[in-house]
Formats: sequence, C-alpha cells, structure tokens
Amino acid sequence: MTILTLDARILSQAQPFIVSTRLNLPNADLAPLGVATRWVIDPLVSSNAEFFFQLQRLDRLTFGPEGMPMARWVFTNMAELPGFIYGFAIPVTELSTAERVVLEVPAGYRGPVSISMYIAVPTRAAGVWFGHNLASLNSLLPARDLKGLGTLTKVLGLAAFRAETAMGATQWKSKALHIHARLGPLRLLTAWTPAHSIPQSLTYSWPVSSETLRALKVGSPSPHKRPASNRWLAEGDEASMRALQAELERGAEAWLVARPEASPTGGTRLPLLVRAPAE
Amino acid sequence: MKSVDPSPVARRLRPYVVSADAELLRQAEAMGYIVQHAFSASGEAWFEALRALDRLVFQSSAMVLPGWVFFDCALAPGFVVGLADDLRAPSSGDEAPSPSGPRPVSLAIAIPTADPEIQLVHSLGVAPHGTSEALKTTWDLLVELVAWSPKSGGVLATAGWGTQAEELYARHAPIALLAAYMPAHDQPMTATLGLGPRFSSVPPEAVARVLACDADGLRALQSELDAGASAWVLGALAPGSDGTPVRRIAVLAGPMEAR
Repeated sequence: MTILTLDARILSQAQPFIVSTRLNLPNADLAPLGVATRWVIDPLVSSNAEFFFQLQRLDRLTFGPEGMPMARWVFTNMAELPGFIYGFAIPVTELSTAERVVLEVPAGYRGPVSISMYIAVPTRAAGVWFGHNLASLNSLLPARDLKGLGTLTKVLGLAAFRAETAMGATQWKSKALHIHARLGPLRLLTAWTPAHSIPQSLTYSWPVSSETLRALKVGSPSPHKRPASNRWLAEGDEASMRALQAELERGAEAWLVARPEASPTGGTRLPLLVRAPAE
Repeated sequence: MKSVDPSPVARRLRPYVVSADAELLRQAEAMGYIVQHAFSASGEAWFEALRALDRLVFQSSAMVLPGWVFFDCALAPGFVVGLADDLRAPSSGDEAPSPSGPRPVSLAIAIPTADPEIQLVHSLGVAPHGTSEALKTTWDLLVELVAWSPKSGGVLATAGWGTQAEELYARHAPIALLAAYMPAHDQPMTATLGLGPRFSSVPPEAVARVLACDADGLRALQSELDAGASAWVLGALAPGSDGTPVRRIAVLAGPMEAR
C-alpha cells in the first residue's frame, strides 16, 4: 500500500486507538488498510475513565459550546456500547507543555491523549453504519501540520468498523457537505427530515469500498463516477426540500452528485440527480 | 411469534413502533402496532410527541436525548417502541375520534451493536401519569421486537441502580453484570447489564454474595470486574434501612463465557 507523505506525517506523530467493548471487539478490523491499532480502550473498565473525559473534551474543543457537545451518558449509550470510536492519539510524554495546556490534559495523566475521533453506530441493516461525530484538533496543533487528520480518521474508522455502507445526516446549509460530497455521489434518503430536530436536514448514504477509502486516504478524488445533475436545490429553499421529500416518498431516487457551489443568482446551490420512479 | 396484549394496562393503549427499518414496520403493523417510518415527513406530529415524552420522562434525571441524537442514534439506526394513547379510537359507539391522533405515553429505544446478536436498550420510561404495568408492558414489547431479529442473543442495558428500569431488568435474573460503577457516565452509579441467552448462564463455581448498591460497594465490585472477574445479578433483596438497593449476586474470578 502506498502511504503518501500526507499520511506518513500523521502516522509518525500519532497512533490509532479504538474504543470497543469485549463483545464488539471481534467484529472490528484492528489493522484497517494495513494501519495497526495501538490502543484498545474498553469502556466498561473504570480505570479508562480519564480517556473518556478526554474524548468529551475533544468533542467540546472541536465543536465549541454552541456545537451541541455530547453529554457523558450519550457517549456511553450512543457510542461506546453499541459501536466503536476510532481515532488518533499521542502519548502524553510526546506532547509539549503548551500542547498539554491547549488539550487540557490533567496533571498526572500518563496515557494517550486523543486528538481525533470518528463515531458510528451500526444500523438494523447488515453492514450499514450511521456516522454521527467526526472531530479533529488539527487546528489546535499547528506546529504538527496534521492536515488531513479528520479525513484519515474517518477513512480508517469506516475500514475498522467493516462498514459496507455509510449513512449520515446533516443540514443542507452545513459546510460539512463540502467534505461529505468528496465521498462520491450521496444517495438521498431524506430531503426534509422532521424526525431530526432540524427538519432542514438530509439523510444520505454512500457505498464504502476499499478502493474508495484508499483513494480518499491519499487525497485523490473519489473513484466513483459522478453522474451529471439534472436539478439544482438552493440551500435555503424549504419548499423544494419538502417537494423533493414527497418525491422520495413516492419512490423517486435522488443523489447529491457534487459539492455545493455558488449560485449565479447569489447564495449556494446543490447539484442533484433525481430519477422518477418510472425511469 | 407472540403478540403482547396491552389490554390490561388501559382500554385505549396500543403498541407503536417508529423506525427506518421498513421490514420491521411491516411485521409490526401486521401484529397491530401503530407504525411510523422515521424517514417519512408524514410523522412530524409523532416525532414531536416522542421528543416531548422523552423530555417529560427523563428531565428529572438530566438524561433527555438531544434532538439530533434522537434521530442519529435511535430512530435511524434502531427503533423506538412503546404504548400510545390512541385518541383516534372511539371508546364507545357514540364517542367521536379525536383529530389529534395517538399520543405516546411510554418509550424504549433499541439499537444494534457491533455484535450482530446483541442490541442495546436505553431510555426505557413511562410518562409521570403512567403505571409500572405500562412500563413492564413496554419492556415486553421491546423484547418481542428484539426477538424478531433472526439472530437474537440478548440485549445490553444501562440503568441506574435502584431505578424502575433496573428493578425491571433484575426480575429477569440471572443477568450478567458487565459494569457495576461507571465513572465516565454522568451518573457513575450506573450498571451495564446483559440479558438473554448469551448472558444468563452462571457457572457453578461462581460464588454467591450480597451487594449493597452504594458507592463504596459498587466501586469495590467494579475493581474486581476491572481485574478480570465476572458477575451476575441473581435477584433483588429487601433494601437496607437507608433505602440502598441490595442485590444478590454471583462472582467468578475469571471472564464469563458469552456464548
């Protein structure tokens, strides 16, 4: 496997961890895409508590207080027990004093310090995982130049989870859609989502393959063919979101085929491919 | 396949399930459940009612599910099951159905785990005006739906010691005690329990004893579990004089075999 300079720089400074119960662990790949996992953290062992406090800090430092940080019990029930948390960490002895302060490492802590994580839970469909958190502290560690840490974390995480299809939900206006759209055409499962606290959310899925993951890992474009779009959706156009949702519920299929782009009439628009049920 | 009859609870209560699993919904509908697809825009009132119920039930314990978590970590990957007060159903020949539709009065959430035979259960609760019988029926409904999975080895559940949910689970003893004290949880005096065929076999060499479920007792047992011991809850005993829950447990020095 080719590891480009980008990944080598990260892997020379940080190593992967996985959070897993003993029950779930046999179902994980501990060397995803050939990258060995250094730390396996069992959430049911109480001496690992400080590591989980750190993950909560990682969540807060990444998304900020306005970013809906996850409560501890949510981490337990929605991440540690049902699925896996995959990420990168640095041994505390390899952090500078300034980095320990920035990362809020408590005095006396001797273990690995997490700097990124990807969380997904399995769904009722075999091989389909729902990702709900991708956090990276790359921007807080500028001297290390860890560009691509978030993408590498997600790619190796999906491989570690043995995911065959990845799902997620985000808002039509979210900047994260620019990153998600790199994965290839995103199949839309919902376009208007009242089951989510923000109905202006879409639910998407994309097929995970080792080819896709390897391509993403080295920063190449997704190997998936991108079909041409046949419709634009303005990011704030709720009427069109509702109309598209109605089409989906009548059996239409739709994809977000590329990244959002600036609209000639102002604002941002998203390129879609929509196929009516009869096509 | 067994159908759970909620009729003893109240005349108008009906089981419901909300999920993105169309096959589960199809089966449930055939068994008389009210069903709602999690990805359908038609369920707006249902979703709002569920979130409101979750707030009502779990606000006092500060364990209300954030809105996005309710979707990402419950409705989309798994299912929510419970009892609904079906206001649409006329109770007698001369009573008009209410236009407001069914209103959930209890809930429980099950999501898959990475172990394909095990599902995780949480947020089991009933509205303040509900009864312990409604809670038990909700648990029975959840067990029924879990059992529909082709591979069902049991469930994991987290619950605070002495809560209604934990006492309900303890009635299924013997159950595995995978964690007795969880310092990284908002409420450290929380247990992680394993229920079902994968967890119920207590080896004869396990030693029975009494566990006082206070912080000291739970921390001490957790230290044993951290060191590699295994434990099972064998049943509830009468609470201590200060109200501390007391459980009869069995402890084995080595790891349990989760078949």
